[in-house]
Amino acid sequence: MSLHCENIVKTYSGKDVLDKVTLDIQTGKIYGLIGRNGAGKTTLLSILAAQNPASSGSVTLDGQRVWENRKSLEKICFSRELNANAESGLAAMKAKEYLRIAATYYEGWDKPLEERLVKLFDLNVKKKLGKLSKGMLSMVTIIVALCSKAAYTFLDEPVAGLDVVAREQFYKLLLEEYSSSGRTFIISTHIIEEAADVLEDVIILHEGRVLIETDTQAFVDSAVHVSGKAEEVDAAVSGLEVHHPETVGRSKGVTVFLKPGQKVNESRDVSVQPVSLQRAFVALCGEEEGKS
Amino acid sequence: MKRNLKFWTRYTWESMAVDLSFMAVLAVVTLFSAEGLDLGMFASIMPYYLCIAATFGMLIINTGSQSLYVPLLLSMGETRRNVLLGFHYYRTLIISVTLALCALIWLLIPGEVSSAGLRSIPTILCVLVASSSMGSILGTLFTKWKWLATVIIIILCGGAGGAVGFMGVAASDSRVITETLEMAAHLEALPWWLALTAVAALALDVAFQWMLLRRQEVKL
Repeated sequence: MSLHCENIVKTYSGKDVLDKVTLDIQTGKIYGLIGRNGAGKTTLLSILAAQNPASSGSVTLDGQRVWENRKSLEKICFSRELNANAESGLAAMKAKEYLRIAATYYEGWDKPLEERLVKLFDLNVKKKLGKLSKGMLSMVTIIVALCSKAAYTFLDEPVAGLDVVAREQFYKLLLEEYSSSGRTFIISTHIIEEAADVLEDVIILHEGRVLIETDTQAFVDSAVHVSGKAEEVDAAVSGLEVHHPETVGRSKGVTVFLKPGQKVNESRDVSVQPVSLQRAFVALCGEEEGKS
Repeated sequence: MKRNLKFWTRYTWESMAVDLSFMAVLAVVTLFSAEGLDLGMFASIMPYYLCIAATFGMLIINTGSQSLYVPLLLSMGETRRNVLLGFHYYRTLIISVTLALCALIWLLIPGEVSSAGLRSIPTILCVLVASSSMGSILGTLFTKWKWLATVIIIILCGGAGGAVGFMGVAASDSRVITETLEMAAHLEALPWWLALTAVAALALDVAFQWMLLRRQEVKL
């Protein structure tokens, strides 16, 4: 079983927000969808879940078109980030009403899990969504995502506004659900460092294009930070894919992405250090002009 | 589709409760203002109040349905086709229940007013269909062109306020029942333009709704 999108293009006011995005989402994995603000993450998830139409391209699940296909849509849950401000009609809806509607529409809704999570998060479901804090709204979206039991579940910034304890709880619950059900999760997040340990694969979206779609560990392992005297660094990384150069006086630091078989020239007087997922992401998407 | 019907059926009863509450308010106003009230007569005019409540109720509720519930259901994985069908199922159900309640009351309380009421059902049906479609079109407009819908809503609210004010004046004159009956007398004959308006509003609503629904983007 796999969710596949082919050449997805989404245009708003003549600008391509997504530009020929092709992805193959395999079952039983936790994907991290990372990218800068405006990279097109939410738009991509919306199109994968048929919540927004694409300008062109197609999304299929097991070879069947997802758009207007109830059977395919039953296997997908995109629990959107809720924006229950005063202008939104959602503001007047109680959290329990929102959860009730979700329970009506998701075939495999897990009511006991819903009750457990409401208790765990200490969520007052009698409150209107407009009266809930950002963190509490995130809890509502997490409950919908986990209780839907959809084979493909997408979460958009699920930990936004959550305190550190609630974030820990979320990652624990996610892993618990993942290991017991084998569901596929795509998590769009800006808090990369915390999520890095749970993301099996990473998809990096930059300016509407997929830059990287690979195993998280392999991606992190392929990146190193090289620092030392500027001329030594330049000599050590000559011919390699260099990103994000930082110069302080005569010292220089760069992040290098190594292709299989490539190595930093360690005969030079440089320090080579591993980098984190966040550091690798910043190097890749932070400063385009730094690439050489 | 089963889950979709379950949602819209529940939504119908919730909307019906709003309509009945509005009807109850009008009934209380009548009870406290009319002198020498004939209970049979009072009961016979209740269906008219229910229709007034349903007309305004659908105008307001349908606006909310389009701007809130349609994107919400799409976000829960429902297809656009099913959302459209579900909404029209709800609309049919609420109009049917309103008319059935009116007919039942008029059948249970025979008399001149009730006979006139039964003869008014085709006209009332057209009014309900037209107002329901208008509410739905407004809701669709609201999701796409908020400012335009806001202007229309302000005009309609002004109209509704005027109508309520008129009823208030009638009530204070203790002539509320007479006024209601006078208005009801005009409903017995179905004007061709009203029937045409209802059909046109319904057709416009379905076409417009489907046209926008196909391209609608979920924003919650």
